[in-house]
Parts: sequence; C-alpha cells; structure tokens
Amino acid sequence: MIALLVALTLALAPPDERLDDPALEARAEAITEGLRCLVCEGQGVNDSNAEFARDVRVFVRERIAAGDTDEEIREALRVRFGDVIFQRPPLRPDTALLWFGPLLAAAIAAVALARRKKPAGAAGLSDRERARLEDLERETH
Amino acid sequence: MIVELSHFALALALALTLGGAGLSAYGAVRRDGAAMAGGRAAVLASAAVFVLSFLGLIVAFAGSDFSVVAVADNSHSDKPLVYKIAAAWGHHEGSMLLWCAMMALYGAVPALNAARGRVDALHAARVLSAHGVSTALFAAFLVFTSNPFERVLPAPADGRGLNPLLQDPALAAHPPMLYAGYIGFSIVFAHAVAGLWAGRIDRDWARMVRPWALFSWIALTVGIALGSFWAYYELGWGGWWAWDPVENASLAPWLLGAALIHTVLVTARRGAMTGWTTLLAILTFSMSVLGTFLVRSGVLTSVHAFANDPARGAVLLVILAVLTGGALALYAVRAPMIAAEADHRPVSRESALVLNNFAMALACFALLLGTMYPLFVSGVSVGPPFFNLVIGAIVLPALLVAPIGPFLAWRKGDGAAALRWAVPGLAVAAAAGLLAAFVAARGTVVAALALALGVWLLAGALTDPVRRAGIFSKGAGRGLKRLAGLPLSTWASSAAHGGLGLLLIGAVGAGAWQTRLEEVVPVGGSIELAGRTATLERVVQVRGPNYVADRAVVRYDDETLEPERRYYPAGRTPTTEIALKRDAGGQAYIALGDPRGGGVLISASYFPLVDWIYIGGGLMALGGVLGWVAARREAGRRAPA
Repeated sequence: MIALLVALTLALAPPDERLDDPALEARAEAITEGLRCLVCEGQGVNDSNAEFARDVRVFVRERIAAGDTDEEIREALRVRFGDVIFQRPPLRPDTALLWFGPLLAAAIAAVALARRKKPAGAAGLSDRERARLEDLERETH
Repeated sequence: MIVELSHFALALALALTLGGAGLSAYGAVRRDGAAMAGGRAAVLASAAVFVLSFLGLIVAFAGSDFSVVAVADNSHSDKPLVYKIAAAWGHHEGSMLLWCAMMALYGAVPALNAARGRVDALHAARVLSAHGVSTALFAAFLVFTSNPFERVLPAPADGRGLNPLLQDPALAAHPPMLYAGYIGFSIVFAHAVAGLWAGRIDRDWARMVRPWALFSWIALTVGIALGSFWAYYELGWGGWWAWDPVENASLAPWLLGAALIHTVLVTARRGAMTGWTTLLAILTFSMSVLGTFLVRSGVLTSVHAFANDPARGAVLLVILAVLTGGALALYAVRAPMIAAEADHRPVSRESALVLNNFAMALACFALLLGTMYPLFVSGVSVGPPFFNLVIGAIVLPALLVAPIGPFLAWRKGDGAAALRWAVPGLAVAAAAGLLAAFVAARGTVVAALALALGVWLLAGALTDPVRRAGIFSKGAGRGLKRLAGLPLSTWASSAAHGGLGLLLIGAVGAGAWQTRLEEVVPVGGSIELAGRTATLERVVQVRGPNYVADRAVVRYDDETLEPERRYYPAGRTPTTEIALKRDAGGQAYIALGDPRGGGVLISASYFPLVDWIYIGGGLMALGGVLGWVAARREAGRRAPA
C-alpha cells in the first residue's frame, strides 16, 4: 500500500525539471537562464517547450543533484554543444570585435567630435555679438 | 478578372513610378515647371493605381480565391473575415505590395503639397525624384521577384491557412504600423537627397523634415509596441522583448529615428548640426531597408519564421546598397556646402542632444553588431545578456541626462540652476532605488538602479512643466495659468521622457520581480501564485470557428480564468491562449501546456507592473504625436513662399 502511494506520488510529481531544495533549484535556474534552445530559433532554454530545452533543463538539474559545480556543468555543456549554447558569447579572439567594437566606435566618434572644425564665421565673435547676429538673422527670415 | 486587372495595375504602377521619377528629375534639372507638374501627376496616378492593386489583392483574400497562389498558401476558407483580409499582408508578396502602395501613397503627399503651392515646386520635384527612384526599386522587386497575383491551376479546394499564431488583432495591425514607420523614413531620406542636391540643408529644410521624422517614429513606436504586446500574451511565456533578430531589426531604425527627431530639432531651431542630421536622415531609412532585408532574406534565424528566400534577400541587399551608397556619395560631395555649425557652450541644450545622438547611434551600432555577428563568426550566440549589458551601458549616460536636457537653454545653459531643479527628482529616484534594493529585496542591484533611473526620468518629466510655468516662483495661481499656456513641445518631451521612465519601471517589475512557476497539476490540484491560490477545476474540450481547444477552468482568487491550448487543423503546431488577471500590482498570467503524467502542465506567472510597459510605450507615442502637431504648425508658419 505504501509502495503504491509512493509510486502514485512519484507519478504526480512534477517532471524532473524542478529540484526540491530551493537553493539548488535557484542555481539550476541561474544556469539555464543563460542557455539558448538550439532547435527553437531565438528562444532561451527556459522559455521553450521543445524537447531539447526540456532535456537541457533536466540535464542541468541531474548534474547539480550529482554534486557538480556550476563551472563543471557549464564546461560539460560547452563540450557537448559548443559555445553556441550560451546566450552570452564568451570572450574569444574571434569575438573580441563583438565585445570591444562598440567601445572602439565610441572612441572613434569621440575623437571625431572633439576634432571637429569649429565654424569659421561666428567663431571670433563674443557671446553678445553672436546673439545680436542671431537676432538679425531671425529678423531677415 | 480582378486578379488579372490588379496584376496589370502593378505593372502600370511601376511604369508610372518610373515616369514620375524621370519627369520630376528632368523638371528639377531643367527648371521646367511643366515637367515638374507632369511628374507630380504621374506620382499621384501611381499612388492611386498601387492602392487599387492592393485592394484587388484584399478582394482576392476576402473572397478566398484559391486559384491565387498567395491566397492558397496563406489563407483558408474557415477563417474569420478579418483574418482573411489580414492574411493579405501576412506573407511576403502581399506585404511587399503593401510596402509599395504605402510608399507611393506617401509620395503623393509632397506632390499634393507642391501642387497646392504649399511647398516649393523645385524642392518637391527633387524630393519626388529621389523618392520615385526608391519606390521604383521596390516596385521592380515586387513585380519581378514577388508577384502576389500568381495563379495556380487547378485551384486547390482549400488554402493552407495562415499561421494560427498570426490570427490575432494586435498582429494584424503590427506589420502595417511598422511599415507606416519604415516607409515614412523614405520621405525623410528623399528630403535629405533633395537638400544635398540643392546644396541647401538649413532651418527651413529641417522644419519640413521634422513632422515626417516624428510621424515615422510614432508609427514605429506603436508598431513595435503592438508586436511586443502580441509576443507577451500569445507566445505563452510572458516575454515582451527577447532581443530576437527580427525585433532588433525594427529597433535599429527606431533608435536612429529617436536620434533624428532630436537632432532635427537642433537644425530647425539653431541651424546647426546640419551634416549629422542629413546623415541620420539617410541612415534611418537604410536601417528600415536593412531590417526588411534581415526579415525577408532568412539570413538570421528567428522566432519570426516567415517564408524566406535568399535570392530575394540578395535583391533587397542590392536595393539597400544602391540607395544608401548613392545618398552617401552625394553627401560626401556636398558635405562642405551644407556644413553649418552654431557655437554652443559645453553646458547647453545642444550638448545634451549631442549626447543623446551619440548614445542612440552607438546603441544602434552595437545592436547591429550583436545581431549580425553570428552571420560572420560561427559557433557563438549573441543573446539577451550581451544586449542588456552593452546597450544598457551605452544608453545609461543619455538616460541620466535626458531629464536635465530640457532644463537647459539653447546655446548656453545655466548648469547650476538645472542641477537645483534636478535635486527633487534625483532624491525621489534614489529613495525608490534604495527601497527596491533593501526593502523589496528582490532582483539584483542592476534592477534597483534601473528602477531608480526610470523614476528619475519620470520625475524629470514632471519637473519640467512645473519649472517652465514658474509655479513656485510666480505663485500658484499665475503658475497654473502659465502651465496651461506652455507650448506643446514642452508637453511632447515630458510625455515621451516620462513614458520612457514608466516603460523602464515596468520592465524592471515584469523582468526582475516576476514569479514564474511551471508545474504538472492534476484536476483539483492547485498552485500558490503571488500569495493567492490557483485551482485547476477541470479541463474541457471546446470548438472554435477554425480550431478545437483544450480549455482549463482555473479558479484564481475569486475569478475563473480559462486558458486554452488551441489546435488548428489547417496549422500544425498548437497555440496557447493565455488567461490574464490584472490587479493593482500587476498581472497573473496562466498558460495551459500539454497533458503530462496524470495532469496538465500549467505555467503560472505573476508579472508586477507589466502594464506600465505598454502605458509607457503609449505615452512615448503620445509625446511623439504632440511633437508632430507642434512641428506641423511650425512648418506651416515658416513655409517658404
């Protein structure tokens, strides 16, 4: 009878996608949050009902239950699927341009902005003269 | 018969577009008034014929004429009429016809304005030449690669149906709104080419361009918001922005458009930053075309699984290169001629707007870099963590300064006074951030900072009208009177910046503070969600007009929620129809999944403050509308005789 009850409870329990220990479950979620579902085109592992996403969610929880560290689990995922599984691209020689491109563009734009030639016409005027000039311009419009 | 006539109309419209562009260009070069008038007439005729052709396609879809390939592939006789009609632009060919019809229709506006003597005929002729060439390129693309009126014999008995996910009111309106924005920027682009052609980019030019830039940006804002809203309630996991390639493709012109509506103001008011404004006017439309290319070519995988075709993508790429390359070459030649700078101090309205432009343009660059990087480097994904971090860091300085910008005068601002006005808003923002970090103690430090930033934007938006009206210095009575008399442009920037603040607050709430549970629940079982109990009472089968569905009856608090899982025989994948319960704090969001192991999979989430995302987006669009009205008045007042 007890065995039957246990079997029944197990059958009703959520799929192995949720760990009972909240701390472990939080770790699992933190890992799967950053994973991409490779078969679903643009969705995360947490946001997909696909079999692949479910398998990955279960895999991560199994490894946590087995006592692996987060880093070991990520490494296992990397070995199995490659960097493409991670939503956040790792810094590699061929992703340097991705990570530092915006910084580079900002630097170039800032230099260009700083070196921009000052306008010749009104540059030598004082504020008051310039304001007067503008008033005149406005009147002639 | 209507189908053949519409097909013929398409070819005729292409010819008329080419004629309009040619006559306008000839008239503009020779200063020939008759040729210009002829060009305008051809432009108006092409718009009318394009619209007729599009109406023909709608008739074919509404009447379920399955002898037309596009109808057979994308519609079904059992669909409600409104979705039969919406299917007319729910696929590649039809949506390109909508694009062309809209583009031609927009071209009719400057043509009419010139005919009525409201704008200079020569400038209009130049605009119509540039716009006509752009329209003709797309029309040729449509006629030669994407004929929406192709017949199939024998006609199939029924259609293959529109993707059930797309049978939704928000999504029926989403593409036309996006297109209204994308294509609006084609007029801005044409004005830029015309201004460069004439060697004259000045205040008058900016006043003509500003209403179009605002109009396009508003349409884009609404279009993106509709798409985001649809993703939130239709895809079943409550995501409203996923940095998906197609979403990014629409955000790129939005960001540059946001830069443009700020910088064109500097040009209109101060006659300055002419070169940069012109560049933005060109590139914003380029981004629109690039977005269409990314969506249509299928080079990027995305949740937006359209019928894609690399060959068509290549043609779009050529169009993009011709338009952008041509305009930029013209810019390179004419840049010295149009350069005009008015001096300004480091602390001034201009400086704040330069910072805004710097951030928006850089954010657009980073967005494209991240979106397209996987095309060039295989084996990496660029997902939300990258975009949140990089784009967040880029826009942060601009968002910090956005509330102060309106406090500063043109040319030379009073920094100390602006900071004094900033103190109350900053204090409220800091308090909100601290409260979020320590009292609510949910989410991360970043979430608390983002919340503080949202509150700061909102507080600054409220401060500006009070400051301008002088409610504290001039006394309440006089202050309120002055408040009512403030120019529309003040309310425009307040509404837009405040809306952005609300959006940010909603994003933090729905993102960082969300609760998400996914459990297999047996009938009679329940889930604790956000302090309340959701009980699954039963699951029933229901039949809709063109689908069957499992419907869960869920008792939540005092209400019955009925999420569904729909199966469309004409489609292949089931769709989720989620149930929402809104309360003062946010929304409970319940979606029904597959039956599984003695129960059904129920996904129950609570998204605090999620409504503010859409209220904020709406307020931004409203700010745009107020600015548009003000800009139109200004353009009308100062129109060159």
